[in-house]
Amino acid sequence: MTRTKFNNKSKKEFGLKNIRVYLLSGVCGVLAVASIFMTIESATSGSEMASLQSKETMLNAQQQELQENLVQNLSVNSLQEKSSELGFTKVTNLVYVSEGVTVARLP
Amino acid sequence: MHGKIQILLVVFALLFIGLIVRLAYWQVVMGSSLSQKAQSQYNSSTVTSAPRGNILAPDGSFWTLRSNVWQVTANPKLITDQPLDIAKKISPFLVDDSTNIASVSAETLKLTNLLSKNNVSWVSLGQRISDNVKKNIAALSISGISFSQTEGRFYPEASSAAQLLGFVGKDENGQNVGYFGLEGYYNLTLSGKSGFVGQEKDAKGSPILLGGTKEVNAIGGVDLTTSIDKRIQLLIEKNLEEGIAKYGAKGGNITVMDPYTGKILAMAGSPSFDPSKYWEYDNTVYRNPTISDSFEPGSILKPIIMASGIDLGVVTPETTCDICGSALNVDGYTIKTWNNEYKANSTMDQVIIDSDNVGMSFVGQKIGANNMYDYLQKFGIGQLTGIDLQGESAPILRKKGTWSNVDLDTASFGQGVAVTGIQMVRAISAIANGGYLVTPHVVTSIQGDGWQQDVGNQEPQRIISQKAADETAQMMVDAANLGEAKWTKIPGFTVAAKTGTAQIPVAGHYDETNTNHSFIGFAPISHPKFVMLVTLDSPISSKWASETAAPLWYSIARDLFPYLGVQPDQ
Repeated sequence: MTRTKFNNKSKKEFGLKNIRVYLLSGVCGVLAVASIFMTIESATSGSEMASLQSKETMLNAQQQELQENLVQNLSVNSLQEKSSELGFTKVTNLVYVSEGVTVARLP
Repeated sequence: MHGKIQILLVVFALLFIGLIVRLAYWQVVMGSSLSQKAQSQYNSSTVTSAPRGNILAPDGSFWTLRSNVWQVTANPKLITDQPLDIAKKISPFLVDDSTNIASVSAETLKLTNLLSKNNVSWVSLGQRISDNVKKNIAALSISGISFSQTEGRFYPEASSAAQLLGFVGKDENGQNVGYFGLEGYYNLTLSGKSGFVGQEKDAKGSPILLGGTKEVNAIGGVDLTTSIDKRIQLLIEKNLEEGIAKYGAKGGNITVMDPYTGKILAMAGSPSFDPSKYWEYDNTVYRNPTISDSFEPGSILKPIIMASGIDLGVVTPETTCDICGSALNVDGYTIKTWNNEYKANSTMDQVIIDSDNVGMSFVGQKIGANNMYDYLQKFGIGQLTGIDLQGESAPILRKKGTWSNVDLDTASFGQGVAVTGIQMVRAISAIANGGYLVTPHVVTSIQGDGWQQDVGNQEPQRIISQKAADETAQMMVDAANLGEAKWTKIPGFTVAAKTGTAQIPVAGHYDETNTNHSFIGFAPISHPKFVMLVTLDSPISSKWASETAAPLWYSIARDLFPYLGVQPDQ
């Protein structure tokens, strides 16, 4: 009877130890996998970051180019050329009308 | 058998010891330098340049815009085609005019020589090339050719306002630096501060994120908003070139300023340069003549002297000149009028209308040498105006207490005193605005990301009474209406103005043939919206400013009036 009790206790302790070992191994395994995953992820992110930086540089250059084109097309020199092409001419004879003098009225 | 094993053991032991010694050599002796070499392979440190600020017009449009330009380089060791073939393909893109056979040939020869240098790994084929040119060259897919991006300046109005803006060149370290004008004066503000990025990179050049990054962000330069109005600037530049051609002048300059605030509305000088190709010009044209060049003002100084006399209480517009009936002898010198005609008992008003040198000598004698020195100082003559442009000069006045009688008399009609154009505009502004000396300035505000700060609002200083300013202004109105330049005035508009035809001092005497012609004035008289100075250098079509600078002034004013909302008052 006493021997049976001892065996049961010993089996119980052994089972608990096993669970701890498995748990610890599992955690270590997860950490190891996570570490490898993170390393791979970081390495991949580096190239992704480089790619994003390159895209940013390209977009900045495009934005700069578009801004230059816009500014060039809106420059006074360009507008003067365009206005001449479109037939606009400078006012040569400006007439100032005194206040109170009727210049036109409905019949 | 046992002996063989012993020998083998000894051999292995020796090999092991050799290995240990070799490892110790690499680890201990060479460890440090190898570590440095390894670090240099995976450590990358880059200085990030701060974008240079832009320069804007009051309406928010750009005078200068930062832009991307490229440097095209080649590694002669990597090129596979013949240098001459490559040069022929590229050279048309690197010259201003690809239809000009001579310049294309010269460029081809230059590039061929550069590409033939087999003993070097890097040669620069072209700098400051635009995006389009870079794309065209890149499309040729020539091996050994590469591009690096740098920051440049884009000028949407081409060479307009070049002397005001200045340009961006390189210092001895190859860094961008502003020279002359606004670029020079505000170089630190526009430049910002460079940043730094230090990080580890893998063999492909991608950053290793686990390695950590040291980063100091670059602080971009701030933008400057100026008071330079594009329409007025282009208007005066066009008229200045036409005036120089029409009157046969060597050069000239025009300045338009708001007399109440000191804001420069426009400023042009000729000859000038293209800031995007500044290196192609003689460095004498970089200087802004309005702020850097001095000249004897002649008769345009007379209103300043008259205002001083009125403010001091020694003359009034009705005071009569009792020495004006003939030429005046002073210390052995004879002072004459410009037309050698003399009017006895001229009033001070008539003295200004006739631009009478003897009458002004009368005023000068009433003021006295020490008082005249003090008043010239009050009007800012002999000192820097403080305008925010690089390169301002201030010709010095003759020391107080050393003026002879003839110095006093000649100074009263603008001879023997040197001024800059901006000093004259500032001094006449004090008459236009009721007696206050303002500080001329070009920049009205600076702004960065999400902030803006107004600058240049210095409190004007009263230097003469309102009465003295108003009475002198009225004398200038009479000079414009009744003086020698009356033929060119615009009917209906009241303008206060004065002509100046000044001899040019050369090596201790006055040039017999050349004169400087000036015309300075403001309008409308009730509340002047602008003061404008027109100066022509040695025009040959006429001896008198009333026939050169004056009509040029009025031709600009004719366009300025409607633009600034000045309406006829007569």
